[in-house]
Amino acid sequence: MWALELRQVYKSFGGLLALAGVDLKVPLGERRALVGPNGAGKSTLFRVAGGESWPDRGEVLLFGRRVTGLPPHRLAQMGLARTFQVASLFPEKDVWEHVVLASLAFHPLSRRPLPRRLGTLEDQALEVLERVGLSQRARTRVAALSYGEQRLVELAMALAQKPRLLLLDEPLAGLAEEERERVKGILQALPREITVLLIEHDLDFAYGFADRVTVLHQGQVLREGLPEEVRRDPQVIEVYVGKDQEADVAFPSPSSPHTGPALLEVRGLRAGYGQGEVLRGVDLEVRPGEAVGILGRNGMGKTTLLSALMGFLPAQGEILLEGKIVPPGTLGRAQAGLALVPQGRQPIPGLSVEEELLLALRPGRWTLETIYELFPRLKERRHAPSTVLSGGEQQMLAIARALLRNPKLLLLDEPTEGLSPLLVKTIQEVLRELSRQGESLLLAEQNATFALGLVQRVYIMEKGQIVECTEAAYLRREPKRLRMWMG
Amino acid sequence: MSRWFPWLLAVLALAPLLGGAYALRLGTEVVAWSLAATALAFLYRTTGLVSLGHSAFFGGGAYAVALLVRNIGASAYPFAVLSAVLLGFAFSLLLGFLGLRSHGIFFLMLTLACSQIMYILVKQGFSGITGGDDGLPGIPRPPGLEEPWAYYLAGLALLLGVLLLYRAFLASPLGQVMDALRQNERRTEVLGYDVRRLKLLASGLSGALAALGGAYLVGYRGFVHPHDLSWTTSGLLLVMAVVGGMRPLSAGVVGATLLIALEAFLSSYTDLWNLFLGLFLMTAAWTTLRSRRATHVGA
Repeated sequence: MWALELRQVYKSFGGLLALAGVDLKVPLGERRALVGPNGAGKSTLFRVAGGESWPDRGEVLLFGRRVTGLPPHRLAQMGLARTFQVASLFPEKDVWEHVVLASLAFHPLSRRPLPRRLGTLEDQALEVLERVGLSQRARTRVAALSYGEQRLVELAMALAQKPRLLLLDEPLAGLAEEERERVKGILQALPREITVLLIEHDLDFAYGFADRVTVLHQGQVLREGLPEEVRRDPQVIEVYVGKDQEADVAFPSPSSPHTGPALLEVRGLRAGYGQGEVLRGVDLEVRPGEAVGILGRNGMGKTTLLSALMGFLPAQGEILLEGKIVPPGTLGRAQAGLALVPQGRQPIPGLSVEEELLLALRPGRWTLETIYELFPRLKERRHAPSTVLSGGEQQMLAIARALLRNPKLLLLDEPTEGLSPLLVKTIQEVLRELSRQGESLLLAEQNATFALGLVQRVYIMEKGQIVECTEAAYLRREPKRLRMWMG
Repeated sequence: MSRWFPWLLAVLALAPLLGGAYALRLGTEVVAWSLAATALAFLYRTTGLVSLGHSAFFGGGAYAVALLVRNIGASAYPFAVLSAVLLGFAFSLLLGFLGLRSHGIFFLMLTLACSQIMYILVKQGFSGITGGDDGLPGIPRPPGLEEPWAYYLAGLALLLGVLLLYRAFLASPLGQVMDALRQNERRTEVLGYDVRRLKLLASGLSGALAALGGAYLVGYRGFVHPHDLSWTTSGLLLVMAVVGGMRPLSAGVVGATLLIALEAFLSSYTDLWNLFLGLFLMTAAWTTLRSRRATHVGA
């Protein structure tokens, strides 16, 4: 019997064929990795398998039963659990409540309209939190968690559901090194009764974890087989990693002299959420035309720093752009010449690609034409709704949107998160090109290899403070020094 | 529950002993509208749905009691109230079915349309039974509660009971699930909860509670009028719930008290009291928004 079976599944969104006749059979107890470049249809396949979208054509079978068209809760009752690529949580609830909620779903207590102690369920929830390493955060609202921690809550919920079939959408994306190791351990230790279907861009992990690998490309199964066979398959390598894997040595010129007054100057910046202070006095500087990286593990305050710069949060301290103190509020900062490429891309629902770009457009060097030259892919898709784009296309859109503001300084928050190696390279080339053309960039990243191939100067952030400022070239030569901070 | 909330209730309870007939009348009105506004707030708190058609249940409950009591007699009160509540539950469930796949403004318009149909049917469709434009006068008080203060205290007890049940519900496992449903419906469904059933349940309970409010209103006032079913009544209920803050347990009571007290206060000074009420609401909304923005921290 198959735990999950897809028969000739087709699914299209707004003219884009996301799944074009997918056949997939995952036997009971198997660990299957689903890999493929961004936009291959992996997340769509999960949505169809989980009952959130119905296939246009074809059948979905779960544990041998036809489930095409059944609502998600019915599939969950049959033993299916899934995690989301971008954490989908209940913003006002704390971590512990999330896990209890997940384990309560099939318990008769969930229908109790009067207060009841949950007894063993509460203990089980604590146990799961212990496993994923969130027990210290049990009583924290998820809105106050770092992105990586939110992803861990996703995993904790899926584990608490006690599934027979577990769909994991990039469980390692957005996690810091220490968290990655922990999650890898948890997944390896899952009992073999649980069938696992996993989407992951960390190919070493995916190939090591899976019994078999399915490669999805342009909505179709390109290859299926044992990890070792798939890893060596030249066709797979080509679609996934690109042809010239090793041509990655052209580092940016080490600091062509960026002198003169600073473009952005930050002094003693403090900010946080509610009671918790996340930024504890940050000083940094970006000179005109310079590309600067902020490296650091998850939860060290990188996103908070960019949010504070953009005026999303109230902050103390001085922020000067071209020597002038920037006005408060996001609108003022945007008008002053800051533009952010947010983590998670944040397309605007209901707008097409071109509409979204036109919305951002402000007169200046970048116009729709030059943007389309930089991102030909966006031109092809310009009439598609921005929300149906693949993750990689959405990232391009987010960068294009920010560029069209013609900002003085472009802030980027983890632009490579959840992208396949090929796309990471594409994005890196685009950003290098921007840097060559004289754009000033401030890049927050935990992917150090990516950032170091791009920036000239690096700030390392730890627990809300800058702990080191150095030339990128130095860290490239001294990877040990880097590892000390990045774990 | 805020700490001052029990004190507010205590002050309410003292009103009939101190304030005389007029205060007693206001107090009774507050209880009736509080029940219905709480129903509206409950629906929002548990599902995130906002209704602009609760007059259908509020007025509908009033009409159901009026018709039964007029035709059978005052002894029929327990049966009449029970029927009103059950009818409210059933109709609201039906409306819930229609609204299951709709959200936000669409649900709002759907509820508005349904309540307007009810309004027209009562006003013009079956005027032989419902009294048409004139409504139905001469409805007696329930036996044993003829005295205004007794009727008022009974209502207060009823309201307190409802609020205690509401509080218990919110703390219960089911209430926690409903709270999750409001925050992220899709995720709740993926976790394995039958979201449709939960929404239907919340919708039904809300309708039943609004009908109870209507039943209480008619027993005290002695007549029903098509205005009880009109959309301005729905609007007033919604304004009450919003003024009370929608989500807290006390939302309905706070909103109803505030609006009825303001109306009584302003109308004793000027005929233009509606104008000042509007100004007050705008100021209140504006200051709340400003203070929210000041304390807002994005995440």
